[in-house]
Amino acid sequence: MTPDPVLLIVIPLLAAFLTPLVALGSKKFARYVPLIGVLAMGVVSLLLLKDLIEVQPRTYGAYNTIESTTGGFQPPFGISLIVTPLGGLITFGMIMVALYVLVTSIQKKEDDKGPWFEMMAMMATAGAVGMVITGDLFNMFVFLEITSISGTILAALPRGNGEKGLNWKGAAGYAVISALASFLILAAIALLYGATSTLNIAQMAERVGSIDTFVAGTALLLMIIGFGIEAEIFPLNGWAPEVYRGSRWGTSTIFSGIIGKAGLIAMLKVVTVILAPALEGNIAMDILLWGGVITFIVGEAAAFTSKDLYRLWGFSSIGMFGLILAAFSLGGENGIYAAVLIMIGHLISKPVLFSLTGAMRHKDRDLPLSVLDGLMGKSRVTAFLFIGAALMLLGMPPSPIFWGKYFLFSGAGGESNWLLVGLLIVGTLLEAGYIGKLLWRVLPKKEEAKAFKLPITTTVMALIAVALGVLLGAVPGLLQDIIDLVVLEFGGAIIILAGVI
Amino acid sequence: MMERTTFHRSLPAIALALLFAATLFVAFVEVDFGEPRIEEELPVNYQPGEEIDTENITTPGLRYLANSSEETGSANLVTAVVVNYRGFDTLGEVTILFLAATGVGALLSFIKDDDEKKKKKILPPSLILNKGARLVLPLIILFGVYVFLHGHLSPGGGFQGGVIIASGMLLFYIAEPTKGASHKVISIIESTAGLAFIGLGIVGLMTASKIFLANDFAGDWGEVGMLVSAGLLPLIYIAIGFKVGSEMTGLVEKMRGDGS
Repeated sequence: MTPDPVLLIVIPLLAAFLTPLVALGSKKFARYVPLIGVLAMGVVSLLLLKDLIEVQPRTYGAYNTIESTTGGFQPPFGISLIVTPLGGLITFGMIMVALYVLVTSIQKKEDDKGPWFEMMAMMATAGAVGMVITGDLFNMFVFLEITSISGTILAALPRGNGEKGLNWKGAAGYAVISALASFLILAAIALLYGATSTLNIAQMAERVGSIDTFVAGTALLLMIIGFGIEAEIFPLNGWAPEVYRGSRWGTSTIFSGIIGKAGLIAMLKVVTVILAPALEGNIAMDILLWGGVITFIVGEAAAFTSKDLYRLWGFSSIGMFGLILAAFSLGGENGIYAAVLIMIGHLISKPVLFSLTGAMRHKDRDLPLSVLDGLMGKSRVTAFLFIGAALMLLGMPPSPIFWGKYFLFSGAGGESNWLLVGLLIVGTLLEAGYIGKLLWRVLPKKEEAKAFKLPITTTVMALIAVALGVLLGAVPGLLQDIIDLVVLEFGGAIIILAGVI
Repeated sequence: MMERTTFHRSLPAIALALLFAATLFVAFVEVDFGEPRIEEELPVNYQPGEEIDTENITTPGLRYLANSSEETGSANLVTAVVVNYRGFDTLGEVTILFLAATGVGALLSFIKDDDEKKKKKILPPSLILNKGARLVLPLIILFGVYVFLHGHLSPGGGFQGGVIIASGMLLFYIAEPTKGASHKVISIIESTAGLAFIGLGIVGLMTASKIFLANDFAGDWGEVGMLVSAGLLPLIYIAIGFKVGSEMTGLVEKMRGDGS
C-alpha cells in the first residue's frame, strides 16, 4: 500500500503541536515525541521509496512519481506534492540524518529547559522534506520559512556540555541572511506568478517559455542567490562558519545534512524544471556548474587552513555542496550518478564526523585540532570510527564517494573539459591534505593520554552508519535501481553500474 | 575625514544595490500584474460572476473567481482561497507562527535566569487606563471573535481575529502589569487549536475525497452567506483564531518577562 506523501508533513506537524502539551506533563518524555515523529516519517518515506522502485511500472523515457493533492482540488487548483525518484531518495536520506541526530542526542541532558532542540530539529527536517517534495512554488516558500525559522532557533540554542550562553552571533547572522534569501525568493515567485498566472511548478514550466527573457533572467538570478544562501554556495555562505563553530553538533549536522541539501535540491528543481526552458542555451546550468566548482575549491581550501575542528567540518560541508551542485549541473548520466553517490556518501559520513567531534568537545569556545592528538590511545573505538568516516568522506574505497568521484572525472573527461578536471583534482588534493593532517594527529598512540569514553548511542549509530557506507561503497550495485530512476528524471540514459564496476 | 573614507569604501556596495534595485524595478514593470491570461480561456459573452465549466479552465485564479462560492460554500473569496484551495499553505503559515513563538519562548528561557535577580520596579498604571481597559477589553475580545467567526462571510478571518484578541490582551497587560494569563493555559489552547486544524484536515483524508484538508461538506450545511455554511471552513478559522490569539498573547507575555 502506498502511503499518502502528505503524511510526511502531517506527522511532524502533529508531533510538533503535541510536544508542548506533553512537555507540560513531563519534559523528559516530551523529548521522545519528536523522535517518534521522525521515526514515523522514516517509515513513510521508506515505503514511498520502495514503491518508487518496485511497484510502479518503469518505462523508458518516463520516470515514476507518487503524487498527492491537498484541499480537495486537483493541481493546478490545489497544492500538490510530487515525490520524484531524486526527491524520494533525498527525503529518506534527510530523515535518516535527523533520526541519527535525535537518537544520538536523546540521552544527553544538554539542557533541562524543554524539548526544544528535538522539536526544532524535527521541524527543520519537515520543512526541508516539504521543499523537496512540493509541486507548488509558493508552498516551497512556506516550507523554506519553516526550515529557516527552525534553523535560526537551532543555531541559537546553547551548545550544552556546561556551556549555557546562546550562540547569538551565528543565529543572528543566519536570521538576517535567511530573511534576505526568503525575500529574494518571494520576489522571484511574484515575478513568475505575475507572468504566468500560476504557482503550480509543472504548469509554470509549460507557460514559462513565452514570458519575457529579462523577467525570466531576473527570476533566475533571484532564485540562485536565494537558494544559494541556504545551500551555502560561495560567495553566499559567509554566515555558515559561525553557525558551525558556535552550535551544538546536532545543529551542525542538520545544517550540513538537511537544510543545505534542501536548498540545493530546491535550487536545482527551480532552475532545471522552470527556468532553464525559458532561457536560451545552457546559461543557467553553466552558472551552477562553475559556481559549484568554485564553492568546492574555496570550501576545501578554507577547511585546509581551518584551525577549529567544527569550522573545518563546516567548510568541508560547503565544499561538498559545491561538488554535488557541480556534478548535477554537469549533467549526463555520469554527472547524475556522481551527484547522487557523493550526496549519499556525504549524508552517511558527515553525521558520524560531527557526532564524534561533538562527543570530544570540551568547554572551550573553540575546538582546536589538537583535541584529536593521540585519539587512538584515548579511545580505540572513537579513533576507528573517526578514521573510517573521514576516509569515506575523502573517497577512499570502499566508499560511495569514491564511485561518485570516478563518475565525475569520467563525465568531465568525457566532455574534454580539462579545466574542470584540473580544478576537481586541486579540490580533491586539498581535501586529502586536511584529512591526512587530521589522521596524522589521530594515529600516534600516547598511552599517558586520559581515556575517553564514547557514549553508547553514538557508538552504535556511528557503527551502523560506517557499516552502511562501506556496504554501499563495496556493492554500489545496490543503489542501481534508484539512481537509474534519478537519471531518467533528469532526462538521461541509463548506464549499468554493476557493469562498470 | 573618517566619514569620507567610509563613504568611498561603500561606493561599490551602493552601486551594486542600485543596479540590483534597477533590475528588480525593470523586471516588475515588465510583468502585467493583475492582467493574467484570462481572455484566452474565458467563454465568449462571459458575464462576471457567471459560473464557468471548469474543464476548459487551466488558470487557477480564473476558476477561483468564477466558482469559489459554488465549490467551497464561502461567500468570501479570500477565505475560499486561503483556507480551502490553498489551505495547505495556511497550515504551513500557522506552523511558522507557532515555531517563531515557541522559539522565542525557548530562547528567552535560557537568558531569563540572569534577569530574575534584578526584579524590575513596575509603575502602577493611571486610573483612566486601568478603568478604561476594563471597559474596552470585553468589546475588543468580542470583536475579535466576531471577525474570526464571520471569516467565511466578510473580510477578516482567523488570523485577523486572533491578532485583535491579542491586542486586547496587550492592553490588559499594560493596564494590569501585575496580573497575567496562565502560561500553561495559553500553551494548552495553542497546542489544542493546532491539533484541531490538523484534525480537520485529516477529516478530509477520511471522508469521500480522501484528500488532506478537503472540504467535503461544502454544500451540506446551510446556504452560501449564512453563518452556518461553507462546511469545515468556519471550524478551521475558529481553530486559527484561537491559535493566533493565544500565540500572540503568549508572545506578549514572554516578552514582558515574568511569565512562568
